[in-house]
Amino acid sequence: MKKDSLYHAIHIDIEKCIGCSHCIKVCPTEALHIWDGHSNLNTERCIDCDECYRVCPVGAIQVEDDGLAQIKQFTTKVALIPSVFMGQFPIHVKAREVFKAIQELGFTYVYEVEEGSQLVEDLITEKIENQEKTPIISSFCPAVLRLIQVNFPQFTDNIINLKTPVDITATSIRKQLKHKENVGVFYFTPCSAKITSLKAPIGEEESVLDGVINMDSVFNKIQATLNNVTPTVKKHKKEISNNAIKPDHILWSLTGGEIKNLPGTCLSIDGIKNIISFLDRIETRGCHEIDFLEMKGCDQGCAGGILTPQNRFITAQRLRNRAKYYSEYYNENPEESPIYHTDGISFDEVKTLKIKPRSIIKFDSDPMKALRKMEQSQKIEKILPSLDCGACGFASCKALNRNIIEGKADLEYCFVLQRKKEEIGELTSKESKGVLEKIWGEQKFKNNI
Amino acid sequence: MSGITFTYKIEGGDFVNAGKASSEIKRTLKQLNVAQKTIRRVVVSLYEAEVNIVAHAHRGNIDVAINSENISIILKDEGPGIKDIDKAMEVGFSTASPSVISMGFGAGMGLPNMKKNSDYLNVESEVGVGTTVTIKVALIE
Ligand SMILES: Nc1ncnc2c1ncn2[C@@H]1O[C@H](COP(=O)(O)OP(=O)(O)O)[C@@H](O)[C@H]1O
Ligand code: SF4
Ligand code: SF4
Ligand SMILES: [Mg+2]
Repeated sequence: MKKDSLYHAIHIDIEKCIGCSHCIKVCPTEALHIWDGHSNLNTERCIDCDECYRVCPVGAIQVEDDGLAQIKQFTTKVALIPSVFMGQFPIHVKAREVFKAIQELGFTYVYEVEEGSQLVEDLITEKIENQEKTPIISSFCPAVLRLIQVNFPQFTDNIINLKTPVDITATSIRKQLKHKENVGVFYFTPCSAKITSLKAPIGEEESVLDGVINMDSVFNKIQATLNNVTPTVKKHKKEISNNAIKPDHILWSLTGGEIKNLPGTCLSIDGIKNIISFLDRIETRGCHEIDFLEMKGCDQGCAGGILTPQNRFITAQRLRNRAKYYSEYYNENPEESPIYHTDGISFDEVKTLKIKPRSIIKFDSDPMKALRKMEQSQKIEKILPSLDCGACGFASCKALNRNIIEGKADLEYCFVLQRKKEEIGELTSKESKGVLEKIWGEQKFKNNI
Repeated sequence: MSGITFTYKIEGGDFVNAGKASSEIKRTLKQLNVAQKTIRRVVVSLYEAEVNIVAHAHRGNIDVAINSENISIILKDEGPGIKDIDKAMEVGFSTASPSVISMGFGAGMGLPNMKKNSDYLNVESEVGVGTTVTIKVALIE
C-alpha cells in the first residue's frame, strides 16, 4: 500500500459542491475552507473524523471506494467482518446466512474481526495491572489517534502500543491460512478513517490488510441475497457464528465495548467534539483517577460510522440483542464455548510503533518566530469583528486569523473589514466584490436583484 | 523585550469556570511550540493558583506575560489572605471548607505543587486584604 502520510479517503467533488459552507462549520480541526466557490481540504489538518460528510446536503464529500473488483487479484479471498456489520440486519437473520451471502460475493472465507478482541482485552488488562503511564488510551479509533497527534501531542505517549482487533485477527488468519495460495484479507469498513489507516498507517510500517470493502457499497447486494434465502430455524452452532468470539466482544466497536471486562477505572467517550473537550480538560487538570480511556470518534461508536447503512441506535440495540443471544446459547451449550484462534500470538506480533506527535497548533517550530506570529495574531484579533459569520470562507474569525498568519489569506477576506476599507477609500466596492467572487465563485454573484 | 500579555478575571466560588485561564494559556504555549514538559509545569502551577482564588478568595485578576525566554504569571486576589504562608506551603495543609473538599479540591497540594513545578514562586499576603502569587517558568532550557 502506498505510504503517503497525507492521504485521506475522503475528497471533495468540486463539480457537486455548491459552496454552502456547512462542512467548514463542523470540522473540528479547521481543515476545510471555501475558495473558488467550493470547499477545500487541508490534508495536513484532516483527521478523518467524517463530520463533514454527515452535513453535506448534496453528497459532495465522497469516500474512496475500491469496490469488489479488487479481490480478484487474490486466489484466497478473505472477508473480515466487524460485528457492526451484523448489526445492520435484524436479529432473526443468522450470522451464518450473512456469511454465506458474503461468500456469494466472491469471498472464500469469512472471519469475524472481534476474534482478536480477547487478546487485546488480555493485553490491556496486563498493562492496567502493571500501572503503566495513565490514563492508557485505546488505539481503536484512527480518527482519535490522528486527533491526538495533531491537537494533543502530549497524549501520544499514553496511546497503547497495541494493534486493534482487526489487525490482530488478520495476523491470525494469515497464520491459519499459511498453506493457502495468494491470500488477500479485506476488512468491511464502517468509516473513512479505517480506509485511511489502511492506506496511510500511522502505528505500523504497512497494514496487514490487503484492502477494505465499504459497507454501504455491499450492503444492498447482501440484502438482496438474503431476501432470496428461506430462513433456517434449526439450531446449530454454525448458525450463530464462527464460534470464535466472546458474546461481550460483539459490542467491542460500540461505546463502552472495550472496557466491559477491564479492571480498574475505565471511561468511554464517543463523539469527536466530546473527546476534544474531555482531552482539553484532562490536559489542564491532570487525570489521575482513570486507568483506561476508550474514545470513539463517532456517536455510538462504529454503529455511527458514515458507511453503515442503518440507524446507529437500532444497530447498537441489535448488537446488544445478538450478544445476549450468544451468551444464552453458550450457557446452554457450554461444550461449544468459543475457541480463540489468537491464543498462540505473542505481544511482539501485535505491538505497534510509537505514534508521533504532529502538531497543527504551533505557529512555528521556532519559538521565537512563533512568538512574533502570535504578536501579529493578537493585533489581527483586535481588528477582526468576532462575528464568526464565515463570509471569509473560513469557519471563524480565529480561523481566518491563523490563515493570515500562515500567509494563506488576507484581511480583505473579511466582509466587515471590506466595508470599513471602502469607507476610508482603501478598497473600491468593485474590488470587494472581486474578493468575494474569488472566495465564493462568480456564479453566486450572477443573479439580478 | 517584545512579548505578549493576557489578562483574566476570576470570581471566587465559580468552580464552573475554574481552569479556563489555564486552558487558554496552555493553548497559547502549544501555539508557541514550547516543550510539552514545560507546558505541563506551567499549566499545573497556573491551574492550582487559579483554583486557589476560586476556592479561597473573593475575586482576582491573572496577568500573564510571555516573552521568548519565560512566562510570568501574577495572580492578585481580594480575599481573606494567608495568615501563615510557611504553613500554607506545607504538603497537605489546607483550610478548605467541606463544600470545597466535596468538589474534589482542598488536598493541600496546591502550593507545594506550584513550588515544585515553577522556577520561581513568590507568595505575598495580607490578612483581610488579599494574596498575590507570582509564578515564573523559563520557556527555554
Ligand atoms: N489565594 C488564597 N487566598 C487565601 N488563602 C489561600 C490562598 N491560596 C492558598 N490559601 C491557603 O493556603 C492553604 C493551602 O493551599 P493549597 O496548598 O493550594 O491547598 P488547598 O487549596 O488544597 O487547601 C489553603 O487551604 C488556604 O488556607
Ligand atoms: S457541505 Fe461542504 S462539500 Fe458539501 S456542498 Fe457544502 S461546502 Fe460543498
Ligand atoms: S466576521 Fe469577518 S473574519 Fe469573522 S468569520 Fe465573518 S468574514 Fe470571517
Ligand atoms: Mg489549592
